[in-house]
Amino acid sequence: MGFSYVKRALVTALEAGNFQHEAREVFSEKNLLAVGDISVEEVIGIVKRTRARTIRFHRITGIRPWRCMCFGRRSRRLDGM
Amino acid sequence: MKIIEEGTRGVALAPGRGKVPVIFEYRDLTLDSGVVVRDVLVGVAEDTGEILTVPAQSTPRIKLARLAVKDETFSVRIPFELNDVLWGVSHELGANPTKFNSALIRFYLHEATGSRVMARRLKRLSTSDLAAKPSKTKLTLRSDSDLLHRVKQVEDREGVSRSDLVRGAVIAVKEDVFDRPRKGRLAQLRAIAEAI
Repeated sequence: MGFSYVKRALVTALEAGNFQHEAREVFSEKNLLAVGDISVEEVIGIVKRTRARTIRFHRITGIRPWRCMCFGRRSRRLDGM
Repeated sequence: MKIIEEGTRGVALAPGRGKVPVIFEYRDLTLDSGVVVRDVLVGVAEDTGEILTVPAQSTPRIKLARLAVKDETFSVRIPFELNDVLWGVSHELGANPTKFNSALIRFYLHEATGSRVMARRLKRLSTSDLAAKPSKTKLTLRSDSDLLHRVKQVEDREGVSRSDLVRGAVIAVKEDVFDRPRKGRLAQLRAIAEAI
Protein backbone atom coordinates (compact mmCIF):
# COMPACT_ATOMS: atom_id res chain seq x y z
CA MET A 1 0.00 0.00 0.00
CA GLY A 2 1.42 3.34 -1.05
CA PHE A 3 0.94 6.63 0.69
CA SER A 4 -1.57 7.99 -1.83
CA TYR A 5 -3.72 4.89 -1.42
CA VAL A 6 -3.63 5.20 2.37
CA LYS A 7 -4.41 8.90 2.14
CA ARG A 8 -7.47 8.24 -0.03
CA ALA A 9 -8.63 5.47 2.29
CA LEU A 10 -8.21 7.76 5.28
CA VAL A 11 -10.27 10.55 3.68
CA THR A 12 -12.98 8.04 2.69
CA ALA A 13 -13.12 6.68 6.24
CA LEU A 14 -13.29 10.18 7.71
CA GLU A 15 -16.07 11.20 5.33
CA ALA A 16 -18.06 8.07 6.22
CA GLY A 17 -17.50 8.46 9.98
CA ASN A 18 -15.88 5.04 9.87
CA PHE A 19 -13.04 5.60 12.32
CA GLN A 20 -12.19 5.15 15.98
CA HIS A 21 -9.85 6.78 18.46
CA GLU A 22 -7.13 4.98 20.34
CA ALA A 23 -7.68 4.97 24.11
CA ARG A 24 -5.44 4.16 27.05
CA GLU A 25 -6.14 3.86 30.75
CA VAL A 26 -7.26 7.48 30.65
CA PHE A 27 -8.40 9.13 27.44
CA SER A 28 -6.04 11.79 26.13
CA GLU A 29 -7.60 15.15 25.36
CA LYS A 30 -4.70 15.94 23.04
CA ASN A 31 -6.67 14.08 20.38
CA LEU A 32 -8.55 17.14 19.15
CA LEU A 33 -10.77 15.19 16.76
CA ALA A 34 -11.87 12.77 19.48
CA VAL A 35 -12.87 15.52 21.90
CA GLY A 36 -14.59 17.62 19.23
CA ASP A 37 -12.20 20.60 19.26
CA ILE A 38 -11.57 20.11 15.55
CA SER A 39 -14.13 18.94 12.98
CA VAL A 40 -13.88 16.00 10.62
CA GLU A 41 -13.97 18.47 7.70
CA GLU A 42 -10.92 20.28 9.08
CA VAL A 43 -9.02 17.02 9.49
CA ILE A 44 -9.90 16.02 5.93
CA GLY A 45 -8.53 19.36 4.75
CA ILE A 46 -5.29 18.75 6.63
CA VAL A 47 -4.94 15.18 5.35
CA LYS A 48 -5.40 16.36 1.78
CA ARG A 49 -2.47 18.73 2.20
CA THR A 50 -0.09 16.08 3.55
CA ARG A 51 3.00 14.48 2.07
CA ALA A 52 4.45 11.22 3.27
CA ARG A 53 7.38 10.30 5.42
CA THR A 54 7.64 6.73 6.62
CA ILE A 55 9.11 6.28 10.06
CA ARG A 56 9.61 3.42 12.47
CA PHE A 57 8.09 4.18 15.79
CA HIS A 58 5.73 1.23 16.12
CA ARG A 59 6.75 -2.38 15.83
CA ILE A 60 3.49 -4.08 15.02
CA THR A 61 3.39 -6.88 12.50
CA GLY A 62 1.38 -6.08 9.39
CA ILE A 63 1.11 -2.35 10.05
CA ARG A 64 3.20 0.26 8.29
CA PRO A 65 3.08 3.58 10.10
CA TRP A 66 3.16 6.89 8.27
CA ARG A 67 4.04 10.30 9.59
CA CYS A 68 2.13 12.75 7.45
CA MET A 69 3.72 16.17 7.27
CA CYS A 70 1.22 18.83 6.31
CA PHE A 71 2.48 21.90 4.50
CA GLY A 72 -0.11 24.60 4.42
CA ARG A 73 -1.36 27.67 6.20
CA ARG A 74 -1.73 25.70 9.40
CA SER A 75 0.94 23.03 9.67
CA ARG A 76 0.02 20.02 11.75
CA ARG A 77 1.46 16.58 12.10
CA LEU A 78 -0.71 13.51 11.85
CA ASP A 79 0.48 10.07 12.80
CA GLY A 80 -1.45 7.33 11.09
CA MET A 81 -1.29 3.84 9.78
CA MET B 1 -22.13 8.75 10.45
CA LYS B 2 -21.54 5.10 11.10
CA ILE B 3 -23.41 3.99 14.25
CA ILE B 4 -21.91 1.09 16.16
CA GLU B 5 -24.31 -0.84 18.38
CA GLU B 6 -23.57 -2.16 21.84
CA GLY B 7 -22.28 -5.72 21.66
CA THR B 8 -20.64 -5.26 18.25
CA ARG B 9 -17.23 -6.94 18.00
CA GLY B 10 -14.17 -5.41 16.36
CA VAL B 11 -10.40 -5.13 16.50
CA ALA B 12 -8.19 -2.51 18.18
CA LEU B 13 -4.51 -1.97 18.94
CA ALA B 14 -3.36 -2.75 22.47
CA PRO B 15 -0.04 -1.44 23.79
CA GLY B 16 2.62 -4.11 23.27
CA ARG B 17 0.12 -6.72 22.09
CA GLY B 18 -0.84 -5.51 18.61
CA LYS B 19 -4.30 -6.25 17.28
CA VAL B 20 -6.71 -7.64 19.86
CA PRO B 21 -10.46 -8.36 19.69
CA VAL B 22 -12.73 -5.80 21.33
CA ILE B 23 -16.41 -5.61 22.12
CA PHE B 24 -18.29 -2.33 22.23
CA GLU B 25 -19.96 -1.47 25.52
CA TYR B 26 -21.35 1.60 27.27
CA ARG B 27 -18.94 2.53 30.06
CA ASP B 28 -17.71 5.54 32.01
CA LEU B 29 -14.69 7.06 30.26
CA THR B 30 -12.12 9.05 32.24
CA LEU B 31 -10.34 11.83 30.37
CA ASP B 32 -6.82 12.85 31.33
CA SER B 33 -8.17 16.10 32.82
CA GLY B 34 -10.16 13.99 35.29
CA VAL B 35 -13.52 14.61 33.60
CA VAL B 36 -15.65 11.46 33.60
CA VAL B 37 -18.00 10.92 30.65
CA ARG B 38 -20.84 8.72 31.82
CA ASP B 39 -22.22 5.83 29.76
CA VAL B 40 -20.37 6.42 26.53
CA LEU B 41 -19.72 3.76 23.89
CA VAL B 42 -16.16 2.40 23.98
CA GLY B 43 -14.32 -0.64 22.62
CA VAL B 44 -13.20 -2.93 25.44
CA ALA B 45 -10.60 -5.69 25.15
CA GLU B 46 -12.43 -8.98 25.42
CA ASP B 47 -9.75 -10.63 27.56
CA THR B 48 -8.57 -7.86 29.90
CA GLY B 49 -11.58 -5.53 29.94
CA GLU B 50 -9.47 -2.41 29.35
CA ILE B 51 -10.78 0.39 27.14
CA LEU B 52 -8.82 0.41 23.89
CA THR B 53 -10.85 2.42 21.45
CA VAL B 54 -13.50 5.13 21.29
CA PRO B 55 -15.74 5.31 18.21
CA ALA B 56 -16.44 8.56 16.36
CA GLN B 57 -20.07 8.55 17.50
CA SER B 58 -18.92 9.11 21.11
CA THR B 59 -17.23 12.44 20.34
CA PRO B 60 -20.31 14.67 20.92
CA ARG B 61 -20.76 13.14 24.41
CA ILE B 62 -17.10 13.76 25.23
CA LYS B 63 -17.29 17.32 23.93
CA LEU B 64 -20.42 18.09 25.98
CA ALA B 65 -18.92 16.59 29.15
CA ARG B 66 -15.86 18.83 28.78
CA LEU B 67 -18.00 21.90 28.09
CA ALA B 68 -20.23 21.20 31.10
CA VAL B 69 -17.19 21.39 33.36
CA LYS B 70 -16.30 24.75 31.87
CA ASP B 71 -19.78 26.17 32.56
CA GLU B 72 -19.78 28.97 35.04
CA THR B 73 -22.53 30.56 37.03
CA PHE B 74 -22.81 34.26 37.66
CA SER B 75 -25.29 36.31 39.61
CA VAL B 76 -26.62 39.79 39.08
CA ARG B 77 -29.00 41.82 41.21
CA ILE B 78 -32.11 43.07 39.43
CA PRO B 79 -35.32 44.85 40.49
CA PHE B 80 -38.29 42.64 41.40
CA GLU B 81 -40.14 44.12 38.44
CA LEU B 82 -37.59 42.75 35.96
CA ASN B 83 -37.97 39.32 37.49
CA ASP B 84 -41.72 39.63 36.89
CA VAL B 85 -40.98 40.56 33.25
CA LEU B 86 -38.98 37.34 32.79
CA TRP B 87 -41.72 35.23 34.34
CA GLY B 88 -44.31 37.02 32.23
CA VAL B 89 -42.38 36.31 29.04
CA SER B 90 -42.03 32.63 29.99
CA HIS B 91 -45.77 32.49 30.61
CA GLU B 92 -46.51 34.26 27.32
CA LEU B 93 -44.35 31.87 25.32
CA GLY B 94 -45.42 28.78 27.26
CA ALA B 95 -41.92 27.97 28.49
CA ASN B 96 -40.55 26.56 31.74
CA PRO B 97 -39.22 29.72 33.47
CA THR B 98 -36.55 27.85 35.42
CA LYS B 99 -34.54 27.18 32.28
CA PHE B 100 -36.03 29.71 29.89
CA ASN B 101 -35.16 32.85 31.88
CA SER B 102 -31.49 31.94 31.83
CA ALA B 103 -31.61 30.98 28.13
CA LEU B 104 -33.28 34.30 27.27
CA ILE B 105 -30.58 36.35 28.95
CA ARG B 106 -27.84 34.23 27.33
CA PHE B 107 -29.49 34.76 23.94
CA TYR B 108 -29.47 38.55 24.28
CA LEU B 109 -25.93 38.58 25.66
CA HIS B 110 -24.86 36.41 22.73
CA GLU B 111 -26.53 38.86 20.34
CA ALA B 112 -24.71 41.74 22.05
CA THR B 113 -21.35 40.02 21.57
CA GLY B 114 -21.96 39.77 17.82
CA SER B 115 -23.65 43.12 17.21
CA ARG B 116 -22.59 46.55 18.42
CA VAL B 117 -26.14 47.77 17.76
CA MET B 118 -27.51 45.23 20.25
CA ALA B 119 -24.73 45.96 22.75
CA ARG B 120 -25.56 49.67 22.65
CA ARG B 121 -29.27 48.92 22.86
CA LEU B 122 -28.75 46.91 26.07
CA LYS B 123 -26.56 49.68 27.48
CA ARG B 124 -29.19 52.31 26.69
CA LEU B 125 -32.04 50.20 28.10
CA SER B 126 -30.10 49.52 31.32
CA THR B 127 -30.63 53.17 32.27
CA SER B 128 -34.38 53.11 31.64
CA ASP B 129 -36.70 53.87 34.56
CA LEU B 130 -37.70 50.24 35.11
CA ALA B 131 -34.12 48.95 35.02
CA ALA B 132 -32.89 51.71 37.31
CA LYS B 133 -35.22 50.73 40.19
CA PRO B 134 -33.54 49.36 43.35
CA SER B 135 -32.16 45.88 42.67
CA LYS B 136 -33.60 43.74 45.43
CA THR B 137 -33.49 40.23 44.00
CA LYS B 138 -30.68 38.06 42.69
CA LEU B 139 -30.72 36.36 39.31
CA THR B 140 -28.30 33.46 38.96
CA LEU B 141 -27.41 32.35 35.46
CA ARG B 142 -25.33 29.50 34.08
CA SER B 143 -23.21 30.13 31.03
CA ASP B 144 -20.23 28.62 29.27
CA SER B 145 -16.92 30.37 29.81
CA ASP B 146 -16.59 31.19 26.12
CA LEU B 147 -19.72 33.37 26.17
CA LEU B 148 -18.65 35.06 29.40
CA HIS B 149 -15.28 35.84 27.85
CA ARG B 150 -16.98 37.49 24.87
CA VAL B 151 -19.37 39.37 27.18
CA LYS B 152 -16.34 40.70 29.08
CA GLN B 153 -15.02 42.12 25.80
CA VAL B 154 -18.36 43.90 25.27
CA GLU B 155 -18.23 45.26 28.83
CA ASP B 156 -14.76 46.69 28.22
CA ARG B 157 -15.59 48.05 24.78
CA GLU B 158 -18.88 49.72 25.73
CA GLY B 159 -17.90 50.74 29.25
CA VAL B 160 -20.80 48.90 30.84
CA SER B 161 -21.08 46.34 33.64
CA ARG B 162 -22.42 42.82 33.26
CA SER B 163 -25.31 43.69 35.57
CA ASP B 164 -26.21 46.60 33.29
CA LEU B 165 -26.16 44.30 30.24
CA VAL B 166 -28.44 41.77 31.97
CA ARG B 167 -30.87 44.47 33.14
CA GLY B 168 -30.83 45.91 29.61
CA ALA B 169 -31.46 42.44 28.21
CA VAL B 170 -34.58 42.01 30.34
CA ILE B 171 -35.97 45.35 29.15
CA ALA B 172 -35.12 44.36 25.56
CA VAL B 173 -37.07 41.11 26.05
CA LYS B 174 -40.00 43.12 27.36
CA GLU B 175 -39.92 45.40 24.30
CA ASP B 176 -39.58 42.50 21.84
CA VAL B 177 -42.39 40.43 23.36
CA PHE B 178 -44.88 42.91 24.83
CA ASP B 179 -44.23 46.51 23.78
CA ARG B 180 -43.17 46.31 20.13
CA PRO B 181 -43.33 42.64 19.12
CA ARG B 182 -41.50 41.81 15.91
CA LYS B 183 -42.35 38.67 14.02
CA GLY B 184 -38.75 37.53 13.45
CA ARG B 185 -37.61 38.07 17.03
CA LEU B 186 -40.72 36.40 18.46
CA ALA B 187 -40.08 33.39 16.24
CA GLN B 188 -36.51 33.15 17.59
CA LEU B 189 -37.72 33.36 21.20
CA ARG B 190 -40.44 30.78 20.57
CA ALA B 191 -37.81 28.46 19.08
CA ILE B 192 -35.70 28.84 22.24
CA ALA B 193 -38.78 28.16 24.37
CA GLU B 194 -39.44 24.98 22.41
CA ALA B 195 -35.82 23.86 22.47
CA ILE B 196 -35.13 23.98 26.21
